[in-house]
Amino acid sequence: MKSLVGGLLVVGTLTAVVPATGMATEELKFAGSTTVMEVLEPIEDVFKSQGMHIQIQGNGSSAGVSSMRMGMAQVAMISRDPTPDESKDFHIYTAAKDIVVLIVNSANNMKNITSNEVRAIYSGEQKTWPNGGTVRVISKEAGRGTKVVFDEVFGLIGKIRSDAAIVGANGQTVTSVANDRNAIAYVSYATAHQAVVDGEPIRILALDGVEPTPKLVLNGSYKLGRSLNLLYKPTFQAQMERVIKVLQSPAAIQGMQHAGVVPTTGLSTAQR
Amino acid sequence: MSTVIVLICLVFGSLLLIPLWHGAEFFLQVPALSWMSMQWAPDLNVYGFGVPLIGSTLLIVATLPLTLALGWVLAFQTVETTNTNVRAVAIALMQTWASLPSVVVGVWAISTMLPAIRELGGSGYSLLATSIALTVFIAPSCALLLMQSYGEYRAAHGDLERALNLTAWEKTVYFVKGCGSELTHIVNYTFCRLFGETLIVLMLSGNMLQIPGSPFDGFRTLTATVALEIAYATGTHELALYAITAIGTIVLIGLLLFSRGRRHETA
Repeated sequence: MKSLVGGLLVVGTLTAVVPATGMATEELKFAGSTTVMEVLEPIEDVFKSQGMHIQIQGNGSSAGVSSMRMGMAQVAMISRDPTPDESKDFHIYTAAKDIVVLIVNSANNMKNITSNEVRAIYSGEQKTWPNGGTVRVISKEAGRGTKVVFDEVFGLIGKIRSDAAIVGANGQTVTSVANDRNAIAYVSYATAHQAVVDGEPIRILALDGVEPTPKLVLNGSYKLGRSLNLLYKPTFQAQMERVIKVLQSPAAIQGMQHAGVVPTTGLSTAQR
Repeated sequence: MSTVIVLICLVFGSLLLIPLWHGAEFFLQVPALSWMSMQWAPDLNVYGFGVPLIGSTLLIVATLPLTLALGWVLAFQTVETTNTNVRAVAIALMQTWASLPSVVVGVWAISTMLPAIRELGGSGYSLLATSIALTVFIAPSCALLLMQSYGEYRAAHGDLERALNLTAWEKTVYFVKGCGSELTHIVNYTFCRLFGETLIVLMLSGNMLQIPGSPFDGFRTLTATVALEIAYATGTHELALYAITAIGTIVLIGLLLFSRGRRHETA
């Protein structure tokens, strides 16, 4: 019954509609990671110019996969590596590489943080800053792609301190750090970079002496990197090839670069 | 008429049954020792409801008396005032206040109260901030209900009150004694609003998975856990969130049945 409903939904959403211009437009639904959503939204017009109308729903990586399994979306956006089950069931296209960065209030003198310090702060072993202030830790909701990557890289799965504030949206995370000189948080580079450009009083920290810029994730020198992946069912291969073609177009590449990520087009297999 | 009843039963029934159904699936799958524990760690496949359940309880214990007290003061002063213009303005203001979206109160609290509480200690995200903001949000609705109830009581007993020249405190005591079942209904309504309100809690509690040791500490409630994680949850994690919803549903139904029982007793 579920697959029948899902099938009807897919058929319904894939049905070509004819807009006023007379040109047939293909409707596609993307669901999943809010980080990937922020990368794809600015290039919606590029899809439109190629006769595709994409609807993007940001509900988290895992929920995006569920939406696709139920036929409510054709493409799942995930900002982490796929699980073994997901790799077995779906095809994967890595659209871009992104990095997660640690941010503090600009009143905090710290400019660099080591992996050991991150582990100590987030596990609760270190509770004060070198200047004596109480560290106020901000983390993310269980199940979020950004948290999965962060916990895995620093060996913090199930070890995050209980008094870590869980702040939902990326914007609220930035605001919380901007308003609290003792706070520390992690967000995607794109979010943090934009906040700095907008004049928010936050600082992006170097990690183990490496200044975070998206390109550094390609050679592995900045370790908090991740792939922004698109998952789809094998039966969707033909339509997905058209999506990939759009993502590899110069306009889409430029849009993704502007969003602060590194598009995978032109990268070697190892770099992807 | 019967169609209306069938529609109400269908919608209300599905509202109750869906969380109960999925919640039952969780309770059958996960051992009781796990969900009765104090550790909520979906990353480790551990789903103890203890900490958010205590968080919800503490929030209600801290906020219910505050909300009822402020609601009563507003209601009493409005009914007792002899100036009809003042009364009309007060009622209009309270009706507007009660209609405000919770996000407005949340934003107000984040911009004014959080920094002030941060100066006193902690991150500002706290039981104290959440409790004050919820009081501000729910007190006018509570006051409007109390006003109606006290207005009717006063219409029936006002002459006697004046003859006995009762003080404000004595009037309050007589009203509580005389309108017990009506007040139970208002207390239940306030309880349900506090238990169910999620947005303000999400914005001000810090959603920390800990039992607050002081009013300045952050905490996590049951409803906030569902709202925070449902979008990112799959498998057992998702079922656990349905189970939390089931617990909430059972608590509220139990309370309403208890309330009805008391009203019948009083009648």
